Amino acid sequence: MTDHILSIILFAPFVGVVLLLFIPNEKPLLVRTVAVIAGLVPTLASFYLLYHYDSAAGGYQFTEQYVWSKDLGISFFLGVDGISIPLVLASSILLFTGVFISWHIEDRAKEFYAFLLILAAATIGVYVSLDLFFLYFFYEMSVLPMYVLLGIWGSHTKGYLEMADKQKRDSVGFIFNFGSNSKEYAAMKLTLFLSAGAVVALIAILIIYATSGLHTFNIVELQAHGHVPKHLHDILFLLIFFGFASIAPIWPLHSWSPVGHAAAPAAVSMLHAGVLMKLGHFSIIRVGYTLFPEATREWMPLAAILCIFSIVYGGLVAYFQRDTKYVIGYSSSSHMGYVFLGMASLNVISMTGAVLYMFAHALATGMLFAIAGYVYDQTHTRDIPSLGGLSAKMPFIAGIFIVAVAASFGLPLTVNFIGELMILVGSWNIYPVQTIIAVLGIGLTLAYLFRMMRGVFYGPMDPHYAHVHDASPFVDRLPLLVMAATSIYFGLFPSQFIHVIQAGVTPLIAAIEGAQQLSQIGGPF
Amino acid sequence: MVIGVDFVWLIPAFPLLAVLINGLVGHRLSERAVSVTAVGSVGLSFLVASATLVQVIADPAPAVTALFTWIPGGDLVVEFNALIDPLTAVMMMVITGVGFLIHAYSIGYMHGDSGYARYFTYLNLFTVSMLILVMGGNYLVMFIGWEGVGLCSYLLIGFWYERTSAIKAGTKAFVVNRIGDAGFLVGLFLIFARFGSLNYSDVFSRAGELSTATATAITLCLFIGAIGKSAQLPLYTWLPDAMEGPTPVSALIHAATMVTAGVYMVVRNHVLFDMAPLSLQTVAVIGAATALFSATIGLVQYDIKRVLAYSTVSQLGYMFLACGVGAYASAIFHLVTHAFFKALLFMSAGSVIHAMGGEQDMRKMGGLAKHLPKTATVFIIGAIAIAGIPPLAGFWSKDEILGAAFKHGAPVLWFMGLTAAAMTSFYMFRQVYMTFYGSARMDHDVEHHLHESPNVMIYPLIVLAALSLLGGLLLGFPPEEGWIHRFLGPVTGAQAVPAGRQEAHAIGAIDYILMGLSVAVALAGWMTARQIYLKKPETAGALASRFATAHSVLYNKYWVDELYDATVVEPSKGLGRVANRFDDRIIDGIVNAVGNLTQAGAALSTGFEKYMIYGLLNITGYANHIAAAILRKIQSGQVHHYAALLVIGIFILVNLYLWFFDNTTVALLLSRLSLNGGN
Repeated sequence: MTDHILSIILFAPFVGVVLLLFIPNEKPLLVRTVAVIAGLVPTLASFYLLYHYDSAAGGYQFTEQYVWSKDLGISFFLGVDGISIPLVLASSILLFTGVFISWHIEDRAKEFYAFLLILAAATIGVYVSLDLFFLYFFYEMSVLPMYVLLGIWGSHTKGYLEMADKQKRDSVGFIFNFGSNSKEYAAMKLTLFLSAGAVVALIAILIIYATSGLHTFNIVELQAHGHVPKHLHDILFLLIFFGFASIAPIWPLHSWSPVGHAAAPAAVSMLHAGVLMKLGHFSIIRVGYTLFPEATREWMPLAAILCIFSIVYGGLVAYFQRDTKYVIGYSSSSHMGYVFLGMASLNVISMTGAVLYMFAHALATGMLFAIAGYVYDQTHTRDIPSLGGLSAKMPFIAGIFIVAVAASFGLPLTVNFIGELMILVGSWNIYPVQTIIAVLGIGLTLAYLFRMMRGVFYGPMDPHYAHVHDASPFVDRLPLLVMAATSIYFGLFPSQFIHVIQAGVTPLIAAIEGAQQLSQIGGPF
Repeated sequence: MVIGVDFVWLIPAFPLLAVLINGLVGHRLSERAVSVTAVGSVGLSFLVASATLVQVIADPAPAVTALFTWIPGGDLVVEFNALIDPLTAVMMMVITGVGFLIHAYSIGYMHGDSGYARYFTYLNLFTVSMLILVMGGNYLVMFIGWEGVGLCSYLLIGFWYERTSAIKAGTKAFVVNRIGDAGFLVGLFLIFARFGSLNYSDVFSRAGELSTATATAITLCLFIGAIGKSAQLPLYTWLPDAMEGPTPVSALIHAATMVTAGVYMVVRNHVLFDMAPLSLQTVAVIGAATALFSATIGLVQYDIKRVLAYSTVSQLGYMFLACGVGAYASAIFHLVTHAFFKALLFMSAGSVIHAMGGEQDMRKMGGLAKHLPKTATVFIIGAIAIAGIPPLAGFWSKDEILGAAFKHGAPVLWFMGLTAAAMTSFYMFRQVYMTFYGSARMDHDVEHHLHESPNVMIYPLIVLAALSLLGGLLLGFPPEEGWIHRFLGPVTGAQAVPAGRQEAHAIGAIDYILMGLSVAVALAGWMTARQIYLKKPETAGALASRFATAHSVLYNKYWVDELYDATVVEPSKGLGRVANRFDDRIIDGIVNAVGNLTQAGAALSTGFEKYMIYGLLNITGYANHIAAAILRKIQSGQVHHYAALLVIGIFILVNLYLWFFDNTTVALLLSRLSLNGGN
C-alpha cells in the first residue's frame, strides 16, 4: 500500500472523475460525496507522506517507476522530496476544501467536479513527477481545465454585468474578440499566456533531452550523468526560468493572474492561487536548480530584482482595486515575490522559508478566496464600495477573515510568519536592500487587506444585504476551519515541516555552492 | 519554592482558555457566564503571577523554561521559551493586576453591548499576547506578543465597527505600528546575523563582541520598533486616534500596558543600548522631545479622552528619557505608577462618559462633582498623582527621572521634562475644573440623567486610587533605592548608575533642590489652571483669542496628521494609482497588443490563405472548369463528330510536325529511336 502511495494520491482524483461519469446529475449528493472522497484520500495520504518521509535519509522517496517508452527514454517515474511534499499536501487540502466550497454549485455540478478533480490531480502530477516528459504533460494538463472552468462556471469581472451599454459591453473588440471584462477573455488570456510560457520551457526540455547524451527524460539520471554542453546552461536556465515564471507569476508576467483569479469560481481561484501558481516556482527548482546549479547562481540575482517589483508593485495595485478578488489576486502575485526572494538568496534558511511560505500562502489565500466567493454568493457583488457592515450578519465568516488576513501578513503563530521570517532572515545577508523593502512591503499587505476588511465587513450595513446569512454549520464552515486550523497548527509546530523541507533543500544548495566553488577554482570556464 | 518555574505557563494559559471558550461559544452564553470566564481567568493569572513574584523575590536569578522547539531551522533554531526574572515579574504583575481591574470594570461598562462576548474574547486575547510579550525568552517569542497586541489593539479600537472613524483609527494604528515593526525586524536580522541566535541569554552574554557601530545599528533599529509601539515622535499620531475604542480598552492597551511595551523592550535590551551611546542619546532626546511636544498639545484639547491620550504620549516620553539617561529602574518604576494613575484616569473618564450618555467634549460638562462624587474623588486623586505632587505615586517616579536626567549631565533634557511637568499639572487640573467644577454646561436632558456608575465600575477605581496614592511610596521610597530599584537591580545592573553618581549616592542638596523645583512647577501648573478655569472661566477664551495663532497651532496638533497625509500617505497613494494605471494600460496593454498582433497575423494569414492559396487553387479550378466547359462541348458522343475530330487532329499534327521539324531532325529522331531496337 505505502509502496504505491504516490499513485494513490495522484490517481484518487482521476478515479473520482471516472466514477462521476457514471453518476447522473440528478443525484447531487452522490456527486458531491464522490468528490469529497476523491479529495479526502489524497489529503490523508499526503499527511502520511509528511510524517513518514525520512528526513535523515533525504532524497526522493516513495518512488515508483514504470517504463513507458523505452525507445524514447520516457518512464512514468514518481517520487517526492522535501520540496514537493508541502506542495502535494497543499494541493490535496485545497482540493478537499474546494469540494466543500463549491457545494452550492448547481449548474452541471458533475462536470464541474470532474474538471476540478482533473485540475488538482494534474497539479499533484507535476509535483510528484521525476520525469521531464510527465512533468510537462501534467503541467499542460493542469492549465487546460482552467479554460473550461473559467469559461463555463466563471463570472465576469470588474462590473461587467453592471455595464449599462450592452452594445459596448459585448462589442467584439479586436482583443481576442471578447470584452476585456468577460470571463471568456479571462479564460482565453490565462490559457494562452500559460501555454506560451510552457512552450518556452518545452523548448528547453527538448534541448536538454537532445543534448544530454543520455536519451532520457529522467531527472535523476540527467542530474547524475547528464552532460548538457556548458555553453547551453545559461540559455536553458533562462528559458526554464521565464517559461515557468510566467505561471509563478513574476513581474511583469503577471497580467493573466488577477483577471484569471477574479473570473474563476471560488474553489478554482483557491487551487489556482494556492497551488497552480507554485508550479512555476516548483518547476524552476526541480528543473532549473537541479540540472543547472551554476546557471542558477548566475541568474537568480535577476529574480532578486524582479521580485521587489512583484512585492511593491503588486501591493500598490492591490490597494486600488474595487473587486475583492482582484485585491486578493494582486496580493497573491505580490506575495509570490517573497518566494522568489527566498529562492534567489540561495541559502538553506531562505530556501526552506520559500518552500514553507508556498504552503502557507496556499492556505491563507485559500481562505481569502473562499470568503470572497462566499460573500459573492450571498450578495452577488464583489464591488468593495457597495459592500459593508457584513460582520453583523456573518460573524463567523468575518472571524475567519481576520485569521486569513492575519495569516496573509504573517502574524506570528501562523505558518506564514515562519516562512516569511525564514525567507527574510536568510536573504538579509545577501540582499539587505531587498529585505528591507520586503519588510516594509508587509505594511502594504496590511494596508490593502484592512481596507478590504473595512469595506466588506465593517462600517454601516447597507439594508440591501439584510437577507444575507452566516456560513451554514457544516458544509460552509468545515473547509474554512480546516484551512485556519492547519495554518495555526503549523504556525505553532512547524518543526516536522522544516525538517522535511530542509532535507530537500540542503543538497540543492550544496550543489549550487559546490558549483560556485568549482567556478571560482576554474575561472570563467 | 511556591511553584516550579514551568508553572508560569499557566499565567497566559488561563486567559487563552477563556479566549477559546468565549470565542467559540460565547455568543450562546449569558453575560454573566462570559464575564465570569473572562475576568476570572485574568484573576487566576494574577494569583499565579503573584506566586511567581514571591518566588522571584526569593531567588531573583533569571530562570528560563522552554515548552518546545518552535523553529528547528538548522542554523535558525528558536525555542518557545520564557524568561522569568524581576523585570518580567513586575510586568506580569502590572498586566494581570491592572488588567484584572480593567476587566472587572468592563463588566459594567460593556453591559448590554451586542458584542459582549466578542469584546471579552479580544480583551483576553490581548492579555495573552501582552503576557507572551513580556515572558518571551527570545526576540521571536517577544515578537509573537508584539504583533499579537497590535492585532488586538486594531480589533478593539475598531470594536464598534459600524463607526467608520473607529475602523480607520484601528487601521492607522496597525499600519503605523507596522512601520516601527519593520525596524524591529531588521534589528532582529542584524542580531541573528551577528550572534546566530535570538535568545536573550546568548545575545546578552556575548554582547561584548559587538562593535559600537553594530550595537548602534541594532539598538536604533529596535528603538524604531519602540517608537511605533509606544507612540513616540514621530510615530505617535495613531495613539490619539485610538481613543475611538471603548474606554476600558484605552485604559488597558493605550495607557497601562501595550504602549509601554517599547519601554519594556528597551529596558530588556539595555545591555545592547549601554554599548551604544549614540542610541542612548537618541532615546533620551526623543523621549524628552515627545514629553514636551505632546504636553503642549494636551493644553488645549477639549475631548476628555484625547487630553489623556496626549498625556500618555507625554508620560511615555518620560520613560524613554529615563532609559536614555541609563535610569532603567526609574523607567519601569514610572511605567508601573503610570499604569496605576492613567488606568484610573481613563476609567473615571469612562465613568463620566458613561454618565453623560457618550458625550466626550469637556466644553459640555462642568459641575459634575456633585452628581458623580465618587468618580470625581478618584479622578482628582489620579490628577494629583500624575501632576507630580508628593506623596502620590507620580511624584516619586517622575521626579526620579528628572533628577537622573539632570545628574546625567543633560540639563536641557531636564528642563524640557520640567516644563512638560508644569504643563502636565496644568492640563490635568484644567480637565478637573472643566469637568467636575464650575457651571454645568450640558443639556437639561443630559443633566437629568446623570448617575453615578455601578459598583462593579467604582470598586476597581477605588483600588487604583489607593495604588495611585500609596504605590509610589511603597515601591519607590526612598528615591533611587526603593524596593523596586533593589528588586530590579539584578536586571538593570550597575550600568544604570552613570559614572560620577556613585560618590553622590546619598541624597544630597542637589536632590532636594530638584525635588523642590518639581513640586513647585506642579503646584504652579495647578494654581494656573485653578485661576483660569475655576476662578475666572472667561480668561480661557480671552487667552485663546489673545494668542490665537499659538492656540490654533496647538489645537490643530501642529498639523502633523495633515503633514503626514501630504508627504507620505498621498504620495504613496499616488504611486499606487500610477502603478494601477501602468498595470491597466502598459502591462495589460502589451499583453493585449501581443494578442492583437497575433490576431492581426492570423487575419493576414487568413487573407493570404483566402486570396493567395485558395486563390491559386481557385484559379486552377476555374481554369479547369472553363476548359472542361469547352471540352465538354466536344464530347458529344456522336461517332461522326469523333471521326471528324480525328481527321482534323491528324491534319494538325502532321502540319505541326512539318512546321517544327526539318528532315534532318526527323532522321535524327528516327535513328535515335531505332538505336534502341537496332543496335
